[in-house]
Amino acid sequence: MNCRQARKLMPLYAGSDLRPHLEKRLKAHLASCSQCQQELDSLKMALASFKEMAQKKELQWPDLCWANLMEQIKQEKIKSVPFFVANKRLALAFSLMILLFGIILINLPREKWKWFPLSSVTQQKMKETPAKEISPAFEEKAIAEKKEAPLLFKDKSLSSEIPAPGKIKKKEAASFVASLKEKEKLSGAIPAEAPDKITINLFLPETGIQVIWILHKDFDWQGAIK
Amino acid sequence: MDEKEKELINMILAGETEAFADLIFPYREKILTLAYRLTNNEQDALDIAQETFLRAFRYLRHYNFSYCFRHWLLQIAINEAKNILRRRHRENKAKINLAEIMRQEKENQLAANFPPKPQPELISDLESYLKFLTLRERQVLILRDLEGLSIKETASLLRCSSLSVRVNLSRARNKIRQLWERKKSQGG
Repeated sequence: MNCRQARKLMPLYAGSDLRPHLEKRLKAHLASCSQCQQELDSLKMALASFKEMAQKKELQWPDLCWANLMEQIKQEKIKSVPFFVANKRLALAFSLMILLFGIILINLPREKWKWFPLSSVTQQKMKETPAKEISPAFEEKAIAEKKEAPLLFKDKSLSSEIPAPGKIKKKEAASFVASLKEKEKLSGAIPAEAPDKITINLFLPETGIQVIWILHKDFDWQGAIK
Repeated sequence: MDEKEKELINMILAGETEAFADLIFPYREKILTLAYRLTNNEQDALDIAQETFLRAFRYLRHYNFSYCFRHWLLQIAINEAKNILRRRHRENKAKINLAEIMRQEKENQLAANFPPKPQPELISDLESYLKFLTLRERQVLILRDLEGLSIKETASLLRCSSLSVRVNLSRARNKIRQLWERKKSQGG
């Protein structure tokens, strides 16, 4: 060890904070170098005088301040510890569990969400909205069992024309439904011909932007009109 | 932890808040002095000590019984001192404006015409040492050399590494030696 290295270690050695292996090496150097020993002595003296000076200066509480503090403490309330602050491990376990549950839920396929309570609103909405197209087989079944009128008919007066089960044969059911549809068209519940194009206009008065969508009935996903 | 302190804390938590005065009484001068050493200002030291005891009372339920009560108080005081020093620094920065500079110039002119009488002990010796240290050096030096905490305890209290404590302690002691030698050579 040279003097430069020794000087670096001296401040820690003076307060006995040096690690044992370094202390040993420094001691060996100090035994052979009188200049470093002198420096160490002056360092020790400086620290001792500083400590002495610090011990002398001790502030005292003014009586009024202490009384004020005690008065303030009387008015204070001890704050309660929140549950998760008191049980940090439990809080960590709980948050990890929620995170895991969330990850599993996100990765589940959409169909399996039905059991999840949050999706109950969506399920309700799905029940309320009428089916737009009903397969003939379903219609036959509905007529045969005489449940409610099929949702196909918007004109409710037509629903009363549905015969009771047993009065109509199953084979005739399809033609019967077709005739009812025809009647509905004539009454105006369903327009005779749906338009080929639908135009939707969106105008934003704040920005002055106008967006126009033109949708063609035969437009397929590949972007070509049949 | 001291059994008596534990008993007192349990009493306070049970509702006997008067026992808090007995609990903090042994530390009242120590915390005040520590705050003074950290800030070099008596008024700030009083503010810090008051806030330390108030916070200690408010958050007594958060106190961990496996931890030393004195160290807990020291930690609160150090954090409070840090906050106050930061606030003072911000205030001082805001104060420096043109009007201030002009006022100072005027004062300097007056002082040049009518020099004030010399005040030999305007600042105490301790202050003259501490003002040359950075906040971290001061914290480390006070906790290790004046409060007698170990390096490990100091590091955990200041929430830094032991290495950082050693580096800052070494710097602070070197500065103290340089200042002491300068004073000695000046005959102070």
